[in-house]
Amino acid sequence: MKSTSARSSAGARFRASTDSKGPTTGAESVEGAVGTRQMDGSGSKAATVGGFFTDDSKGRAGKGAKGAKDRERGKDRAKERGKDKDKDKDKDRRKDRDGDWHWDWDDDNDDDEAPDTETDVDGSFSATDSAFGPDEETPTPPGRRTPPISSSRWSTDTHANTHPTDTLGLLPSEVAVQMLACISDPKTLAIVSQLSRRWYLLAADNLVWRSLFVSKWGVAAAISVAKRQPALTENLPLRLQSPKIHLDLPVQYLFPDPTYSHNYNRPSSSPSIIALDNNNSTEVSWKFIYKQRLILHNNWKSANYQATAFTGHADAVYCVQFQGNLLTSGSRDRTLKFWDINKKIHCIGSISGHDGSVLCMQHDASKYIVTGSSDSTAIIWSYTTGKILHRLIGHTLPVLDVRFNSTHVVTCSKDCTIRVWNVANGAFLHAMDGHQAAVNAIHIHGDYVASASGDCMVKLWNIKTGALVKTFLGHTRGLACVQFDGQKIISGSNDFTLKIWDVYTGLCERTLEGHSNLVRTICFDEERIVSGSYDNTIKIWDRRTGEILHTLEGVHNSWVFHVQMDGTRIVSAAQDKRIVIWDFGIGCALAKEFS
Amino acid sequence: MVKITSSDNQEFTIAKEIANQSVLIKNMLEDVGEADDQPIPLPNVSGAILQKVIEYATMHKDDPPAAPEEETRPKSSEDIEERDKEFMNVDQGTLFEVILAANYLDMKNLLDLGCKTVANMIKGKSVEEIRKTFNIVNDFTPEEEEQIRKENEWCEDR
Repeated sequence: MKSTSARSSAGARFRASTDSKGPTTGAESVEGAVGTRQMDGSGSKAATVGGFFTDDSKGRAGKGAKGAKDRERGKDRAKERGKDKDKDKDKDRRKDRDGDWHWDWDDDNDDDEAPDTETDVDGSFSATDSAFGPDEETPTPPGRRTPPISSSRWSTDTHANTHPTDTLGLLPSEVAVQMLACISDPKTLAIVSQLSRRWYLLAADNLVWRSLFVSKWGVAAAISVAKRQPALTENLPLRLQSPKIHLDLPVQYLFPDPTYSHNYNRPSSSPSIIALDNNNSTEVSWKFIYKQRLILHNNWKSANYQATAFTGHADAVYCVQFQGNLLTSGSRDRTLKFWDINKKIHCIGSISGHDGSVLCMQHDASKYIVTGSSDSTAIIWSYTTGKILHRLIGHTLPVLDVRFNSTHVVTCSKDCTIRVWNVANGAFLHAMDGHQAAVNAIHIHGDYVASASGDCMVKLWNIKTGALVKTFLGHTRGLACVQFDGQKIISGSNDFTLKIWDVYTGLCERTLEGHSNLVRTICFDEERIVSGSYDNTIKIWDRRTGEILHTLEGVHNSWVFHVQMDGTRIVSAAQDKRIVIWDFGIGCALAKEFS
Repeated sequence: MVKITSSDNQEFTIAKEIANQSVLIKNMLEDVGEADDQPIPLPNVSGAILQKVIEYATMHKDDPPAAPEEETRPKSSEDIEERDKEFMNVDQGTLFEVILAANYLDMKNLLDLGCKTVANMIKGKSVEEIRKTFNIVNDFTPEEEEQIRKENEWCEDR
């Protein structure tokens, strides 16, 4: 005891004070503290996707309500804190009278046989006893203390008055966590976690990391990941980030303020604080999610991928579409094939109906597959049965691209026209004339379709009325591909460039140069643009800066006909009959969730 | 007008729209009704800090009400108004008292501002510098320190 008391640091004092109480009261105090805590929303989440989503919002709403309650409680406690202040004044007064007994408690312990001192101390504090922290009670010899200790007694004021000011430590933990959530930088959080035990715990708070995730990758991404929570909780070691340090500190040291104990629950089964998390919790760890997202981010950044090539078609593969573990491909061999690409890639089905190459295809993963062929027709297939529903006849030359939405199918052809059909009954609605050469590619968004033609032009049309909305001029040779997201159009051309167009101004914002042959296929999202070319390479461009991030080469040894990507993968199809999956999710435990 | 008293019994008379920026006071006013002329006691806030808080509330009395859904916009400690920066240019003790008061009085904007200010004080500093700035006692064993450093390594490579 003596050696401990000689230390004047806050930690030493708290530790010492518990020691002095002896094991029995120590345990009591811990249980008392734990008993008053409330679970912070964890453990109540449903285990289904839909359930989670609603539950999440409920949780937030609940948190709001709880927050109000906490504030109520906080107020009560604040009042108590006010009392504490008075008490501290009392104490200060006492100090004046009694000298520095407060710091001399160890001697007091030794003077156990001097009851008068103790009575004096107890008596002087009896009026406000309920609000006392154990550090004030340290004069009491071991085993003497009997009243159960409530958690509300460790007030920040007491903390502040009895120790050299750890100013940051004055913040109630709920506020400290809020403060840490303003730090949108993991490096700084890493530094905070090295400050002290209390800050180590605070810096690991889920709220802090969720906030960090949101600030880095946006709310939509956070919601999208959270939506897949069931997968997370079922399949993954969620708490990889749980603190590895065994904290054998008394509770009051970790939670010097009473507010904390109400907002941040610990597993009630364990009297000592072992880890930050509740092992039974189904709540996802945002620190873990953040880390996995960062791994993925760095994979894209440093071109850390695994390429898997497979062949199954008897001839060139013109088009692919993938979603999750299912990949669909159309080929010059006139078939449409379906592949399971989870781990061991294998073909799970093949359908045919065209009298020519399958040049283009889109499916909605539920009702329809639409294909276009060099036989000048397009076919609407049933997605579920693989049966032909309607054959769209009207184009006089090969159908080079198809897109559809819930109401319309749009096809474009080498015959220079674009045709619009009713998706439900296959009826021809109207044609859009205007291009002077083959219309090689189209892409639709909402009621509009963007078309790219061999006449060097991109045109934007209204699908419902068939009216031409705008023409985009700038490419010097024919166009091969186009994608449109409602704001921007990106086109690829036989002038070897890609151009980014603003739909509203009609102007070319940027020209991306780098390919050494026709740019045959493109796709893009908020972060990157991927293009496939007749120079046999695939290039990844930074969407914001237009810089080439990486060139994927040496796998396809022929013209690249089609690329598609999601958050973790690029899939490409080429004349060499091969389909290649470029997986950037390696080493990322949540690759599926981020796709 | 609304009367409030601080922990040290200083009385302040402030306009209602200023008082209402504190959800705590707003709720109290709604509970007791307008006719009541009794000052509202705020036993947790000293007169000096209350003065400071009122200064803030006065400065922001014409602000549009805060968006209810805080989740939609990520908080960043960088976006602090110039006048707020100036307002928070106080000694550490006052800063923390103001934060505690904002928490107690339930003034979200002021609490946010306080949090951002402290976050900015932490940013860019080393572990030792932060400990020194805020008088934080290192209570880790050297082994634990090493372990935490290892745990945090992944944060560094970006």
